[in-house]
Amino acid sequence: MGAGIYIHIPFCLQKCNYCDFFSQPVDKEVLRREYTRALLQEIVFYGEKYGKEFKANTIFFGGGTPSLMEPELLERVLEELRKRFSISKMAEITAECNPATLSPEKLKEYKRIGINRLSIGAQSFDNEILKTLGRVHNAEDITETFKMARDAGFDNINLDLMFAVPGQGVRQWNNTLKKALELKPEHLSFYSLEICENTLFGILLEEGSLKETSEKTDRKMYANAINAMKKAGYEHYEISNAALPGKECRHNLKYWHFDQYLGLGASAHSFINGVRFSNVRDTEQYIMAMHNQDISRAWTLGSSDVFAADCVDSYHINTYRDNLGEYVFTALRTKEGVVLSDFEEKLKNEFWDVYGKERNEFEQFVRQGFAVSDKKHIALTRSGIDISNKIMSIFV
Amino acid sequence: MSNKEYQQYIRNFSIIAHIDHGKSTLADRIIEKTGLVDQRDMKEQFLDNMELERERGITIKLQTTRLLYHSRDGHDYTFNLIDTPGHVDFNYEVSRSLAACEGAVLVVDATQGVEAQTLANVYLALDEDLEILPVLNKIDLASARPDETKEEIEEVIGLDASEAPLVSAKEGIGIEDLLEEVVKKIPAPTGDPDGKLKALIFDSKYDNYKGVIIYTRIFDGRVSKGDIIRLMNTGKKYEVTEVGVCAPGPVPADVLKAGEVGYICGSIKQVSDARVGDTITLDSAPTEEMLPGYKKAQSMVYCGIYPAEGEKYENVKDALEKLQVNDAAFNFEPETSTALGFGFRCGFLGLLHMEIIVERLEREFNLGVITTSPSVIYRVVKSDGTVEMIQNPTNLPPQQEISYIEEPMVKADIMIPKDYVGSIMELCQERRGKMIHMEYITETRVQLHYEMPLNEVIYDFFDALKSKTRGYGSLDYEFIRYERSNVVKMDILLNKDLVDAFSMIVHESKAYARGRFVCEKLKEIIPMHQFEVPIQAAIGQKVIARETVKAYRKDVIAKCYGGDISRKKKLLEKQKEGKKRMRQFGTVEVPQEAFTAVLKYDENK
Repeated sequence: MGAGIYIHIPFCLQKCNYCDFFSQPVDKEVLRREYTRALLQEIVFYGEKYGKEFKANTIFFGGGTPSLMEPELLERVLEELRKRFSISKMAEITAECNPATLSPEKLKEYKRIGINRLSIGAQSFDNEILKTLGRVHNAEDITETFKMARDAGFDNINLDLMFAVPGQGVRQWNNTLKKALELKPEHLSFYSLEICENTLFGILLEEGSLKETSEKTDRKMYANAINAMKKAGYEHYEISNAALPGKECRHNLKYWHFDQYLGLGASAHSFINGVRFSNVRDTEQYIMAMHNQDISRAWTLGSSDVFAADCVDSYHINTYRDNLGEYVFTALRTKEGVVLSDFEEKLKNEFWDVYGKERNEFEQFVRQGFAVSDKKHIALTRSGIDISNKIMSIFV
Repeated sequence: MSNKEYQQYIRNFSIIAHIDHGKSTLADRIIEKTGLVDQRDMKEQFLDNMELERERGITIKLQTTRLLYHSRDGHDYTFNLIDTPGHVDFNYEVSRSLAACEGAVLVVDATQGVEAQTLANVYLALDEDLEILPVLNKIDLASARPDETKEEIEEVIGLDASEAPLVSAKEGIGIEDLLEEVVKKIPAPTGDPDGKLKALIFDSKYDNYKGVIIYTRIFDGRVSKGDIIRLMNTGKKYEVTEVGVCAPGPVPADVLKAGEVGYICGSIKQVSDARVGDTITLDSAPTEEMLPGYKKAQSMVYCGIYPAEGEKYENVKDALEKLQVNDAAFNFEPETSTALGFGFRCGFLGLLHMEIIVERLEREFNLGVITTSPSVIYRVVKSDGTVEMIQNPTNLPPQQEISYIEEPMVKADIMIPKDYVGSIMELCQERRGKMIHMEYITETRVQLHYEMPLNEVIYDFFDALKSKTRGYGSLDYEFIRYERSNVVKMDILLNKDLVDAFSMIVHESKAYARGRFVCEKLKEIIPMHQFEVPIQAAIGQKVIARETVKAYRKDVIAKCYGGDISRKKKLLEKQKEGKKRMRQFGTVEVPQEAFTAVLKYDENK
């Protein structure tokens, strides 16, 4: 089983009103170069640490807006990755991109350097909603970008969509769904807008000048999305993801399958050898840490899995209990749920031996139709997804 | 030195103040100045030694400490500083600790002037014939108005404040002047060290090694290790195993003599055996007269305390026993509830006392508990003429067996600035109070005398009084008699099931409002379930209020981005933790805070 590699590109043209991810509006090329150099240094470090033993079959450029990066910069990163690790020839290599940040030339270059999957942050096909969200693009840009990508030969494209946006009606959402499906992407992600503190939306909500979508409307939109996608032949394989058969996002599946992944770049998260760790959420600090690299120091810190002490934001050695909880709640996000044999293989215990005490509570949900349980797996039903936290929390 | 000369160099005093006028800070400074505690070791508010007290900024359990002061007159003085608790529930304890003193330092905030509790405390001190030494605090603040405050002290309290020291406890200004005033103005103790032993218990606490430690003021005679003492009100005898002084930790001494303050140990098992206010004498040569003012501790308020997790029953029992050992006013016995299982019915002085015990269970013993609605003791006269005393609503006999019910009445003395008379009279009336008398103490201060059902006082009357008078109101109350009353039992049903732990006895005229309030409150607190949960308040079969918790639709995390699952995991863990604090009643899960939340009556609702 191969690992995944995630590379965070923290740059955006501007911050969206809802965005809680680590990003900063920057358009200086020099910073992008410096950042790339830092990424290369980080790769060298982990390369020396894990070497060719580290086998990866997915690479994911996430952001921020990776499509703001000059293709040659991404190429350098990919070259370094291939040089230092064992990257499968068949690897899924995804770049997130925003409409109106791409040109046919750039797409051609992306294709050339090996990127074979695009994830387009469409969010909505309604210009009013896009404006509310604070996106820089409009609906026409999405279609145009999508067509451009097809023309450049991309045959694996995801569209990110967002619902339960303040002011969004069910009909508006249905229309976005329709427009998205008309483009026939291989993959669709659909997220219920989560309003986080410290975002513009969070502040407006606090002030009372923003009205959250009701839960009823939210669930109606979610149900409509699933129905529409199923009808169009997509498989709803994870809470917020649907894909044409065989086109599931292999990288994201690693998160749900308790697989290893290495996160590179500012704020990136890793899960390797039972340790969860992440880098600082600050571009300058990340670059500084990489430039002042003192690999020998990092090594003398002993078993340190991380690059340099001042680059680390969090570092947690999972306990067995952590592993259990994480395995289960991530697996329950997927359609097949917890596959008992896989659980046993990875966690060395039989599922119901570990969760004997919780079984009764879980079975209540099964009786009420929120979950299913048989000899091979346990999983959430469609109605169980709506209250998934409640069910997952049994197992953490 | 004559046999009484040592008394010249002793000063026994308390510090009294309105809340927030800086009493504890001043005590800290005095302790610092007299060099008792290294500044390094000095925690803020030295005398408030329970974590809880420091946090709430109120003194619950009093503490006494001995200080040595080298005066400008060249002599060394022993100061016994006796701290006093500051809440109406503990007024009796305050009066006893004042009774151990010759004087009191009255702290008045120079920015605020005289306030209600200042007065209430002054009256307590005057009752004990104490010399009162006014001090103006917070003079470092720009808003301080010392001259006006002095005038106010003279006008309102009638004390000469012309020489009142100006201090800032926070900045350490004027502390020495104050200490000199203590030497000059507060009388030295008197009493015959060779007379028959007469000593006042003004506090006691339990110590794991020494048993009960009695804090005492010797008025006459002397006591040493080996003496057989008798506690005059309980009649119990003990052999003294140790005497000493409080510094503030115990420091053994050979003897305690008339005028001194210190501690006595004598293998006493429970603090209730050494009740505050009792008189200690020698068994071999007892004094003829007891010190005045002894009162038996009487629980006024009862409630059920249940372990949040059933299997912790024994732990809760152990903890309650430990608390009882240290708190003469607290008692408990086992009881059961169909909703909550095995638990305890506990008696308290008042609602604050109850809150403190519950918080101590949670903090000091790390036990989660559920408390049921507090209740007073009702006197139920049955049709067959027999009488039952009921302190648990669940035990109320069926309606048809009851002839009538009587409830305890108290005499409530309320002191307020005159501007608030209207709103407080309204409050009292709403609480079924009957005004007996009203008097102007000064031009601006009024005392209201009411008779009121205790039931109406215990919920949150004190809080309401405080908030309606912006903290200026003060309250004192005492039980007077039982009176016939039209009270009924109100039940709460969740999803049609009666939850006995929510049952309460209320006056008929209040039942609708209270029922509505409880239902609304529960609606806020009970989380959404996968089904609708009706909440009903009922008297007998009659539903008087109803709310519904809607079924929920959504409890899902949309995304886990970039492999950062830690936040989502925390959320799930929190949810699981929250579930542990839930109590399952039939099919309905109720968070534990529901039991306390329904007690807080919000006037504005």
